[in-house]
Amino acid sequence: MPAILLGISCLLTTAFDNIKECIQTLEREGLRGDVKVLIGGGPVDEATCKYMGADHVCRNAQETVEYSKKYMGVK
Amino acid sequence: MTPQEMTEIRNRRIMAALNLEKPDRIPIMFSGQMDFKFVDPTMVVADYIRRPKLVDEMLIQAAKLPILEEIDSAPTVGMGGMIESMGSIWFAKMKLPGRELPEDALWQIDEQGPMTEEDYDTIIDKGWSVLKQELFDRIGFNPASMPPPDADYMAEIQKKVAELGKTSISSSAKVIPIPSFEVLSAARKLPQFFKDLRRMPDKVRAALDIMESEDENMVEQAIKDDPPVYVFIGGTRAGCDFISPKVYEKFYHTYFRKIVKVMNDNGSKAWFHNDSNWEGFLKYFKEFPKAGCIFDPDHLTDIFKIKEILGDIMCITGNVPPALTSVGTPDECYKYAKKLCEGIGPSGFIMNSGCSVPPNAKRENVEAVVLATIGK
Repeated sequence: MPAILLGISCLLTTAFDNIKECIQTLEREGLRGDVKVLIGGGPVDEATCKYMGADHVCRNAQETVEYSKKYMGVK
Repeated sequence: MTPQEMTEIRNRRIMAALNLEKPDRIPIMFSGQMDFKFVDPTMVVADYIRRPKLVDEMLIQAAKLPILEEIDSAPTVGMGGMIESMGSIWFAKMKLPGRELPEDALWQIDEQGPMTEEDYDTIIDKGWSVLKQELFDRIGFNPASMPPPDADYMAEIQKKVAELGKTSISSSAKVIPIPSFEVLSAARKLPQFFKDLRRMPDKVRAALDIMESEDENMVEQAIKDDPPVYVFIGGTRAGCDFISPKVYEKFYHTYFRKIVKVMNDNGSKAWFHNDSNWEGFLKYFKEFPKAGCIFDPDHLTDIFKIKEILGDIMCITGNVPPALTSVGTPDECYKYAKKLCEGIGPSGFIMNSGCSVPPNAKRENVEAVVLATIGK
């Protein structure tokens, strides 16, 4: 079963470009449309999300669970 | 104007902010030591370890660059030789750029978790300082084997820093207390420590009592030996997204309460460098004396909420996000800094980065923050 959600966490701004490249690789391989990319960790914010091409910023673990359950229709 | 006169102006500016008064302008004290790349963009983070004296020279040059010369804090020099031993704070090994990591990567702390469940009894029976030495042995760290600071070089480089006319106010160089909760979480590793809190809370609390008491004595002695204006305390693993108020009250805040009293009683302020989201715990900081502390968040705690809850009690410093200075534009940085100046300043506020200015920050972004702060 293909992944529905992909969570990527980082703590350093120097990892931003690696995450961006990771998401671009998903696109190149034709996998991007099937998966929701969530990012989290200390330095990320909405602007970073846009820069990386991710779908959603998760501020903490709790919010990530809530978002994922809602997205997957889990009650 | 002489460097000494400039230092006096900057000192008055910073003391006004720390004492919740209105300074002649909002002070700027950036954290982080990567400005050397603004002078020579070909340099990499590995140079910090490989060529520490060159990095120091470049940091001093960066402090003289147009616009950046307005920054009030002095560059942090003489740190290159200390990076390797930094991991010992967390009973960890260090992964270094140019060794385990790429040349331009930031060093990383690789936790080892050498403490066992039985070691809580050692802390309670023999003291934390005894177990601490044992833990160093287990990770193969010998503080005595570290090269001593080069006193002649440090005197020479500090003379060059003094000639910059920056503020002479800084944290104590003799002691950087770390909340005992954080130290144990590193010694045990975080997942194990969180299980301990649940399975054996009384034993953990008994060990914390011993550790906190030892730190109270250590901090008091350090302040008496060399009284600083403030002492830096790091908090990284106790944000409200991370632990519950019940856990914070029982296992963490006790440290702040005891240490702040020691600092304030001995004439120093407490500089809380609190990473992650502390919004839910801000109410606990209302108990501290007026102008006895500084709250220094990264960008994850809403700084306007800090102003609302603690603005009348303590100076606030922060919080330009590292993401903004690394991938944002100068215009975005300028607007963010302006919003801080207008919403948090002008009294009791110091412009600062949220945690540190990252190694991939753009010079023009840092300049935009400075320009917004000095009103240009």
